[in-house]
Amino acid sequence: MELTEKQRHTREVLGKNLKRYRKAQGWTVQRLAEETGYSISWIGGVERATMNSSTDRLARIAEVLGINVHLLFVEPQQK
Amino acid sequence: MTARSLAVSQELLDLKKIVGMNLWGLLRNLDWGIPELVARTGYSPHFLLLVLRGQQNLTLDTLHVLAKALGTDAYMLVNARFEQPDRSALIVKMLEYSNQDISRMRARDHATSTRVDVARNLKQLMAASGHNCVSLASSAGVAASTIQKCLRGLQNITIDTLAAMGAGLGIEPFIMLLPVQE
Repeated sequence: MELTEKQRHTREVLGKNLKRYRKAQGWTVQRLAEETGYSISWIGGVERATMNSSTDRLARIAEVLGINVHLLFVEPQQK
Repeated sequence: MTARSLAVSQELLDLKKIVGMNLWGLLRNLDWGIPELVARTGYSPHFLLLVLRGQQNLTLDTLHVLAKALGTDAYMLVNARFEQPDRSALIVKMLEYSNQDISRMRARDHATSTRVDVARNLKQLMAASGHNCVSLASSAGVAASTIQKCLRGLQNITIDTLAAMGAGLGIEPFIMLLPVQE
């Protein structure tokens, strides 16, 4: 299914933020996968904005990263 | 408040308590705890605790969902009386779930907590923008049933759907995920 511009943009913001918060923890994708129980390929796909995800999964990732889930969607200049 | 309306209020209060006590009894018979009921109904632990405490008004749909999850009929929740030989133990059990316990459960249950936040935020945003489920579904290109489930905290929403609903409401998606302060 074709993504809208808004959907594409949301995935990109999510991907960039996920990578940023992961690196802020000093974690590799593998480490984040181990902490969350999700696959490396899935996490990598979310960071590259090629994979859809759900609020339940992102809530788990946010919990592990020690942040609130909404921060994964906030563009840096919006904070 | 008139004497009649006071009497009606008292009956409604008693009915909520009856449902709560019956629910406790049915859970005890099945040897289930709150997590089992959460898993089978999709309702949040916080909501179910309010029902068990007799503090939650219930719709007929909710009664039906609860009854089906317990393998019984809705009338068993409103009519049946359970023997409570050890009422003090039952009360202690209910009191164990203090507000602090609920907060801790929410902290542990991030996925459920997020769904609750989305539900509350979505309800407020729809009210503020004058949308109902049908109009938002049309605006966002999302199924109305999906929006209804989101409003009840029963939907594990995808990010693409979140983005579409945000576009339909004219807001950034993160606003729907903002934590709601108790």
